Amino acid sequence: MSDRILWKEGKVKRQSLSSILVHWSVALSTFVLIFSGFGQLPMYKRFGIVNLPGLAWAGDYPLTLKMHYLAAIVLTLAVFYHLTEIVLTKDFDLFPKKGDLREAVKILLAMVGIGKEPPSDKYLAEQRLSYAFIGSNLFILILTGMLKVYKNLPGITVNNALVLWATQLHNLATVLLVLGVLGHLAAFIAKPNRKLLPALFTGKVDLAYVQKRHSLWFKRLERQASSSQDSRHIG
Amino acid sequence: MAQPISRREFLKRSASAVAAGTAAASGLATTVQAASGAKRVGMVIDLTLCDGCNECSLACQRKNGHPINPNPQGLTPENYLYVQSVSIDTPSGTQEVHIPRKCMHCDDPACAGLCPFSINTKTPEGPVVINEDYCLGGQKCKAVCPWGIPQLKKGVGFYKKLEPLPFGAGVMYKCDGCIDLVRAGEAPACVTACPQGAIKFGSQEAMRAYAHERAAAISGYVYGDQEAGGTSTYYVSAVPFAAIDAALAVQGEQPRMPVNAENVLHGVNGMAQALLIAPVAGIFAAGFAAHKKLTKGDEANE
Ligand code: HEM
Ligand code: HEM
Ligand code: SF4
Ligand code: SF4
Ligand code: SF4
Repeated sequence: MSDRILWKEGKVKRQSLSSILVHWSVALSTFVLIFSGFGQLPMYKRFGIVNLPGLAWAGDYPLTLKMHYLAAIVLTLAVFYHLTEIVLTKDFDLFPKKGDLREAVKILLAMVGIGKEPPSDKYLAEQRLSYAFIGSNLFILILTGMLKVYKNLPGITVNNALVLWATQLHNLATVLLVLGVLGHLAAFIAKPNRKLLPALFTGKVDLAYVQKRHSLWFKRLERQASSSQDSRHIG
Repeated sequence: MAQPISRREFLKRSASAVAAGTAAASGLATTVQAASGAKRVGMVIDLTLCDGCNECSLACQRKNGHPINPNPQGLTPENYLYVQSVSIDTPSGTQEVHIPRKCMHCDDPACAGLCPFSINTKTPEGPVVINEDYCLGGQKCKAVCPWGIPQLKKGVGFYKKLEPLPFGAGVMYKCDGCIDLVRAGEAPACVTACPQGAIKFGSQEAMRAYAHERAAAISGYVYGDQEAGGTSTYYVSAVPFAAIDAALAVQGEQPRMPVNAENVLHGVNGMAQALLIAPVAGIFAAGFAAHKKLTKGDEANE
């Protein structure tokens, strides 16, 4: 892992280039998939979206279908890249832990001034929960989407009951994912969380923020630095 | 002019030349045992025999319990078979051509593949069937069908149960290939009703083979084998279908009959293949990145 404390800069290296690329290719492809997916439901004509200036193409099924397939390629690549990275690096920081639900409630309450925020590791409990929720919905969408793609290949017929279930799951996961993404974006309405935003652009966040909020992680990084021979003179 | 033989046809021909040969030779409506599994049915509509009497349309209306309309003006939710008539100038004088139109029951039906609820399906017997109980009437199937076949009936169906949620408008109706009769081993109502024997029914392979044989015999044309990537309805005509389509256009008739009509689904074939290998590509990319990191050291990635 490349995470470490950059004392001179007053920052902490939090995200690697590859994590940043994964997050933004997932985010971008997901937005396109949501938009083109809703386009595959006969919705944009019905609700007048196609009459909005510049959006006449939204009702063009062959076009939104191509967009959906293209974005699905990007999403699938990024997700399988990410999953393989987890297996290879054994970096499970984002995986939910026992007690995360209770801890997440405590953090939320602390943000509105009730009680004291518990110390966090690299990720807040709600980040781990949000990761699991968004991730599992994306995974369901990819699996069911794959079946939907496969059955659309020429000359292929898949058991109709299986396709029916895949489609219902695809649609249900879409609704849940949209809620998840809205929640994810809403998280950045809260000021304290905004300190995390630079992590996905420059890869670094403020040292003071880490010391205050992610104290468990900070201690971990300090220990790591002192035990590692070549990092000793950085500090 | 004979249509070029497609790869699919070639495979099927070599696989079942014998069966096709015998059925085609008789040229009669052959019924198929649906119970025998994946055996698909097909139809030949011979435009050289059809005289436009409209009996097939009436039989279809009766079979489906629709109000009887002796003179339908097109496909409607209560008329699944519409007989078009056009005049075509040929070197041997003007010819009247009558064209019974209905769902083609495509091999790779875009209407079913793209149904957002997967309640429009290709049955193992071949007919493409919309589940009327759950259709919400979004008309997407009509938009992606090369011929705009399915027709909306407003104000009925599942969406009424979902009200006041703004989901749906009605139910899409179209020819279901008389799937109930087919499953019972009988021919569709329109086939039985035709006094001219202009609609033939049998296994898809036999019908395809028969259509091409018949077209070759009259130096005519086949429509429905190449279109949309293949269907199970084969029109045979002595005049070119391009001329028929042009005449339909002049008369403002729907559905049209474009030669080599495209299938929306085939527009994403290339991407579909890329999609199915994307997981492997993602795994390899991550493996490659990890390998580079290991050999060049951690800092190389910064
Ligand atoms: C559909 C779009 C998106 C998806 C699916 C998505 C997904 C995720 C997931 C699963 C995480 C890890 C768990 C978490 O922190 O909650 C995450 C983290 C994050 N995302 Fe997104 N995201 C999306 C869009 C965005 C956008 C538009 C922004 C910017 C406003 C953003 C900013 C962040 C930040 C700052 C983090 C935390 C990074 C860190 O802790 O180092 N995301 N995202
Ligand atoms: C963020 C992820 C995704 C979202 C929000 C999403 C959403 C949707 C929605 C709303 C539909 C229309 C309703 C339906 O047919 O079920 C749809 C259709 C479809 N999706 Fe997705 N999808 C996503 C990812 C994927 C992926 C990864 C694949 C392929 C691996 C995929 C393949 C398909 C296919 C083949 C269709 C059918 C096209 C059609 O009905 O016209 N989707 N998607
Ligand atoms: S002709 Fe149209 S409605 Fe019939 S199966 Fe083909 S795409 Fe569907
Ligand atoms: S097959 Fe049945 S439903 Fe279809 S047109 Fe003929 S009679 Fe009507
Ligand atoms: S019943 Fe036969 S002859 Fe009469 S219109 Fe139909 S196909 Fe043509």
